[in-house]
Amino acid sequence: MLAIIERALGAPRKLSRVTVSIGPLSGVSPDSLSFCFAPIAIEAGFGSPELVFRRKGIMVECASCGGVEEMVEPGAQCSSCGSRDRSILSGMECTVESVEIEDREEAGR
Amino acid sequence: MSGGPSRRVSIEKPVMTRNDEVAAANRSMFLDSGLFAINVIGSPGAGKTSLLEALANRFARDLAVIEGDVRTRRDADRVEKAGSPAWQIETGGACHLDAAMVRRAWMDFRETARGSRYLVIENVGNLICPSSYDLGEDVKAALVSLPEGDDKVLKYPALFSRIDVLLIGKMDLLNHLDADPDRLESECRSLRPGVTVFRISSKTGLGLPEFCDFIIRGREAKFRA
Ligand SMILES: Nc1nc2c(ncn2[C@@H]2O[C@H](COP(=O)(O)OP(=O)(O)OP(=O)(O)O)[C@@H](O)[C@H]2O)c(=O)[nH]1
Ligand SMILES: [Mg+2]
Ligand SMILES: [Zn+2]
Repeated sequence: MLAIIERALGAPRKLSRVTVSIGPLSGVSPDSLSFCFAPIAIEAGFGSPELVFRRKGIMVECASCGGVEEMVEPGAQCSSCGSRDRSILSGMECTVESVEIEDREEAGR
Repeated sequence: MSGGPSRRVSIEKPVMTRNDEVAAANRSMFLDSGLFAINVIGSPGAGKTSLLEALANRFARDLAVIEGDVRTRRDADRVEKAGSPAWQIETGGACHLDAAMVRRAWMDFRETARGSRYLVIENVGNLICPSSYDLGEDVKAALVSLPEGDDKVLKYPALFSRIDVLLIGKMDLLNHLDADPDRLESECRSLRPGVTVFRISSKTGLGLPEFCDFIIRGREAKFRA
């Protein structure tokens, strides 16, 4: 994750915040990500940014009626026609949306 | 900490970008090596190695196996004894394999595994972490055995929404348990409508010819020019 940020910024910068959007089907647990992230961020020269998670829903498209809606419970049936044959449009993602570079560091450059 | 304004930079990149890049490189490496690759994910004790022993009996040197465990090379030894070359990755703590581990392993292993047509990777026993790491496989398979209970699919939706194949294992125990394979199958289809399902027993051999056939046809389809 830090490698992606570093690639985008060109070099490690002191960060105040990292925003990650995360879907229920991403397979990534926010707790374990935060736990691993903090010590590595310090060591890699990113400081101690706050890690903010924006939780997304699971969006599905029904194969029978074509309806698109949020799947509130994994495996739930379509609210319009009752079908379970639905394909997942989103909810698997885990994306670094943005970072905020610390003001002080910016001024000191 | 300063409380002052800070500069926001948009990134919009998947957290898995790095792994996905290595996985893509693995995928073209397997293509060049003539391999059809399967990533098998399941809980500790689900029967992954037992299945691989059965596949080794059937495919012998046509099959190469990469074993992922936190420690010991017991599983690789079992597969070798059953007739296929095997390579052990000891993760030393990591609860999943990533694409880079598989890449290094294949570099060291490919001479020994020369001529094999199928590569099966046994992931570390775990239903959570392995699900989001693409290894460059052609088929992602989950093995759930009946003694684990029939409620596992919706408890681990990240895995079961991504798999190509669901293997329902230890079917020989069906009459001794309350677990219902139909429930596993229908809940998996609700997350992954196109999933292919096999009900197998490595003990009795149930379902194994069908699964072997699927592997053979999968490779044929991949390399049909
Ligand atoms: N009855 C029955 N037992 C099985 C079957 N397959 C495996 N077992 C038993 O289940 C236990 C675990 O099998 P393994 O193949 O070692 O399981 P694994 O998933 O490789 O385990 P780890 O690598 O430790 O995660 C062993 O005692 C096997 O004999 C089966 O089809 N039927
Ligand atoms: Mg094993
Ligand atoms: Zn519908």
